[in-house]
Amino acid sequence: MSDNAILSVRQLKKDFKIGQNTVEVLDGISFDVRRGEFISIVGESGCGKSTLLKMITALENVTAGEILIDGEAVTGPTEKCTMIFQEPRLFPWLNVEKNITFTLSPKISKQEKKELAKKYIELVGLGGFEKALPSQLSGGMQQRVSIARALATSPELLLLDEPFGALDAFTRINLQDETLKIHQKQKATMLLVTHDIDEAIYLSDRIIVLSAKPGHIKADIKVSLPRPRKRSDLEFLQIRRQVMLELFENSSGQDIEYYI
Amino acid sequence: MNNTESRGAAVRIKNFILALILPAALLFLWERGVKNGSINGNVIPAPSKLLDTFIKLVKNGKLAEGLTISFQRVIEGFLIAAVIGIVLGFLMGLFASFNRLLSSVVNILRPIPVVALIPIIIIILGVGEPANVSIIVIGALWPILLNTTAGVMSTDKKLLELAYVYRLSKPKQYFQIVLPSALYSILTGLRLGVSGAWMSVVAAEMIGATSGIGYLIMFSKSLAQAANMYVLVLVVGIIGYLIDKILLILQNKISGRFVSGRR
Ligand SMILES: Nc1ncnc2c1ncn2[C@@H]1O[C@H](COP(=O)(O)OP(=O)(O)OP(=O)(O)O)[C@@H](O)[C@H]1O
Ligand SMILES: [Mg+2]
Repeated sequence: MSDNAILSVRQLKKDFKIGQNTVEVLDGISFDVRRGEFISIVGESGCGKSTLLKMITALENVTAGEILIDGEAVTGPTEKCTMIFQEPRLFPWLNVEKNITFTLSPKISKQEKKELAKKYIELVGLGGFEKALPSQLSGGMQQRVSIARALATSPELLLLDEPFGALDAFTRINLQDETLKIHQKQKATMLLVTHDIDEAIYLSDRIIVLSAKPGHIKADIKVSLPRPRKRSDLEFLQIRRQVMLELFENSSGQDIEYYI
Repeated sequence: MNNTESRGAAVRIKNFILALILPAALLFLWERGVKNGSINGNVIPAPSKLLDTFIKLVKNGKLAEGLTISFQRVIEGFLIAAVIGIVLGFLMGLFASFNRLLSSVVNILRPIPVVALIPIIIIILGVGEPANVSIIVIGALWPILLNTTAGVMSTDKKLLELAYVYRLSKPKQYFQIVLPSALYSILTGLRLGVSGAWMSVVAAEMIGATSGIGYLIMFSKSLAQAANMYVLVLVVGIIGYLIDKILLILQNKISGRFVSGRR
């Protein structure tokens, strides 16, 4: 384990029992995430990406292997790590401000909570919507509230499970930029699960490619392009091709160009 | 804007008049029938006689006296049922093992009509207030219990997952996530519970009490005061209806801000 790894995953294995059958979902997963890194995980649907994040937050237990956050084995959820889910998961009866203060530590004073909420509402561009109920916001705005809620807890490690998956292209690109800004400003480590290869390349320092049945790490691709990145740059497209090759290698004998 | 509003009011007035036509016609025929002797006024007194009787019962204070006692019993029994129903319903909704423990007993007791339990309760507790109130508790309990359980169980699991990841305390999860999620259901249960309590108080008083509106109905019957009996039964019906209407408005008021966020 490198000394400054905020997250270490060691020989992780996960089985699910479905009826009589045991399904191997993940096997032999090992990787380190250094403090401040932005990592993306890509892989086909059902290969165990969400399960991996759930194990890091202790929502799922581990079949074998171990997960260390800041050198400590994960036995329950910790304040160092938070997750942004695929859906906003806001409390429909709380307004934007209260949705954000609701999940803050009880140790924080009321006044401080209010100030934190205000700060992060501004950060995700929702100033003026403090008193709005979730039902009065668009899907993209709701997801921004959930991002603000996660950031307000100042996690050292932020897990994002396809947080932009349900959004239109315009909102998605906007939020990607905002996330990148926040990543640089907050110096938080981010671990993003996504289906969108361009998103992964645009945002990450490293891309972990998972393959399925059982899910294992197929490739760990470093992205050292300078930021801000352009989706049409030659290097960008070369990395895209590399990720595609890793993702689709086993799926058929067809030429990869066909997919691109 | 104003135009559609006034049109809405016109439609409401029209619907109101439509709803009144049939009852008015029936009342008219009923009155005529008694007057010309085709209906026996001793068995089914004319509407005008019922109105006179109602006014008499209001003036001599009998009606108010009976209702006051019945209301007191309903409130007492309902409050006890509400506490038991909400607490047990919450536990049954939250904990599967507790649910399994109680559900067989609940499912056997629940279909028994309260009236069938009255003799048993009177044998155990004797005639008196404890018996009366117990009958009302049972009459109000089931809808409160079942709706609370269902409401608690309908809490969005995804919100609870979120609460776990954000390390919210159990009390905070129960009182600030589960309770608001179940609120509308609980209020429905309470509303049905009040109706149940109202029906049970009449039954209880008819069988084992010496006061209250149910007792007055039985008393009028034994004195063959048909008009009194009809008026009292109608009053029971109208009060039951009003209770339900008022509580429905109250329920929607209370849960208004929660409902607005429901999908
Ligand atoms: N609670 C569970 N019980 C049984 N099997 C499960 C459970 N949760 C997930 N699985 C199985 O684990 C596998 C991985 O699921 P997971 O949700 O992690 O996939 P994913 O990579 O996130 O897919 P997607 O990209 O579609 O979100 C699937 O085959 C799924 O059927
Ligand atoms: Mg998933």
